[in-house]
Amino acid sequence: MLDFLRFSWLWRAYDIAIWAEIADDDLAAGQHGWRVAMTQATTEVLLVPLTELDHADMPRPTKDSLRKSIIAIAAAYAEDDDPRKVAPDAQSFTRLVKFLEHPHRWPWEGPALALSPEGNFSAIWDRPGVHRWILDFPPDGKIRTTHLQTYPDGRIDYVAGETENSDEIQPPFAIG
Amino acid sequence: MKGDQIPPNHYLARHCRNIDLVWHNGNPTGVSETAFRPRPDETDGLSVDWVDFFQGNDRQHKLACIRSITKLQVKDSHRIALLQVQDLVQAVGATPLAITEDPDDNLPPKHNADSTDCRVGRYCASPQARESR
Repeated sequence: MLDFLRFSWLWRAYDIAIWAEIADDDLAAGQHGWRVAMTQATTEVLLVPLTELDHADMPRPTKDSLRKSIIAIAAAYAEDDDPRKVAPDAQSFTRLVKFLEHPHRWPWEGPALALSPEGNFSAIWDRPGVHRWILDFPPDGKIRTTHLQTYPDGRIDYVAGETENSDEIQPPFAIG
Repeated sequence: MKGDQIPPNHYLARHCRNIDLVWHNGNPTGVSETAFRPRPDETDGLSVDWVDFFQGNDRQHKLACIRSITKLQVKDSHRIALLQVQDLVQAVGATPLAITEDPDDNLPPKHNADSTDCRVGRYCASPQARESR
């Protein structure tokens, strides 16, 4: 019973996340701002993804957006002092890039990126307060899809699925 | 008092590490669901701060107060995720949820809370079924 409750709590975390807004100031009161520290860990994490992006055939704005986000994620990973942290999976990122490279997806706006605690990448398209569409790229070669839709009365619809055939994946709202 | 419900229109703050954020164009634009997974020391629910415990309408002031009482190891790049209680309750739908006062008397030194009259609450959001185990 406890396992079920925990599972259900994690599942609902998706719903919770779309309601969260980020405070528009740094958590720490410091005046230093945030800078990317190019540590060895950052460099190692970035090597394969940046090479993959360099060779990717996709619109320049999407490529630039992904590059900036992967650099930010690599810095976040390097900064994270959790001893249980798992390195970002370069293969997961490669699969994300391959997916976006398809000419049918060139008109799509560049996605936001997130990293799971297991090291897998997710591409996210957001319409704040209305839609969030998440594509997860786990190591099993499948693509997991999650669509959250929020209605004016606050109700949230949650639709999830997974597929090995990327051609089956269509955005649930206009993204380009 | 400990165990009291937090009003539905009040805001809660959850500390988010850099790695919990969603990045677009190199900028943090949202929070990943990982920010709301229980941490190893959160066996009885998620720990959040009660933003509207602090008086006034100035959110920046309230966030400064939150920063002053956090015991977590924070960095410049970390962020605070803000959630309204009613949204949180609605988001979890049928899952019973209790967002209750859980005051923390053991504050860090030189915090911004006014005086001994001003108890700073740390609050616990947890499924009721787990609480009643």
